[in-house]
Amino acid sequence: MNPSDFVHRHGRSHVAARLTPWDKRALGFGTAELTSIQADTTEEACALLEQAETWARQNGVDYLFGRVPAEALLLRLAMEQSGHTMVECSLTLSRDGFAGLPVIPARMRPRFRLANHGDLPTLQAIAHEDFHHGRLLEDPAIARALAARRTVNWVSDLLDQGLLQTVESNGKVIGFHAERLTDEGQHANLILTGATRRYAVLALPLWICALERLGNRQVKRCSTLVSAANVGVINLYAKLGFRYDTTLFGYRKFL
Amino acid sequence: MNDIATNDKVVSAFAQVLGIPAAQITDDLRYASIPQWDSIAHMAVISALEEQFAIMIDMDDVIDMNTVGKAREIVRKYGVEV
Repeated sequence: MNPSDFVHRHGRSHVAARLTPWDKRALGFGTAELTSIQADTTEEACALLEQAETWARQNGVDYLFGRVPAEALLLRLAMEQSGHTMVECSLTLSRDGFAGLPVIPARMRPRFRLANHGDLPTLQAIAHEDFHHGRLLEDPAIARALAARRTVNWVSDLLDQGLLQTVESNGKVIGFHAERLTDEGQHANLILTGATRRYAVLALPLWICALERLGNRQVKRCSTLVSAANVGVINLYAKLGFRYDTTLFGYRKFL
Repeated sequence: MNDIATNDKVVSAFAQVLGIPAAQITDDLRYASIPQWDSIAHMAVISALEEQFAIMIDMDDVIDMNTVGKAREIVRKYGVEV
């Protein structure tokens, strides 16, 4: 936990939050995220939210975002009673193992390589032009240009962390992919994957190859978070045999 | 039962892969305009055309192949009479 993170416990209830400087960098105002909230009653949840908002204000936060499970009615009621507005819906998806993936014709098989700074303008252009979903992009109160800047910055950050793969086909950059391994390499969190609209027909081979590469590295399971509004990608994951695990509602409040 | 009997080898390849009657496959039929021609089927269409005509389709042609008519045009580029 970072020193700037926030946790407040009260009996069996708790709330946790963190500052999100990567969002602040794009939006130009203070941002934070509720990372966890647990309460037995709506009243308790409201009290916890008040604690988190007080911490957030003390840290210069103007925009507080948090997701709660769709079935957590008391938390959703607390969010609404505390003035938080629902701005997005996301699904968590997962796949155990990598058997049974569709076969890619040899000519359609893209090549993955570690991204370098020379790739950045092309990859950032893909992120800017071809990404239309995500919690900031779907918040009607956030200007599209600012939300897109967040995605563009994200690509740059992933490159700096050595997590970004450039995906090429026939010598042309068609997209990118990033994943993070956890559980001693047993589990992969699929962070960000995208193909250019021009090469949309190669999106499926791109995803399949990304999964095959995980299987080749003995990864056992992968999961991801997808906007429920991104039906194209949801259908793609369905074709790839992913299971839908949870539905989350995203709320935000301007403080 | 799918009726795929046709002398048109392009239509035949599409009918086999998409599992729809040859009579429903026209040159105007477009990628993703029917549930059967999705991104997975598109990969199978490419493989079927390559096998049917013993050709290797370039990546740019794979990307441009958005209708049956365009597929026919692309196959002709490789010297196949269809």
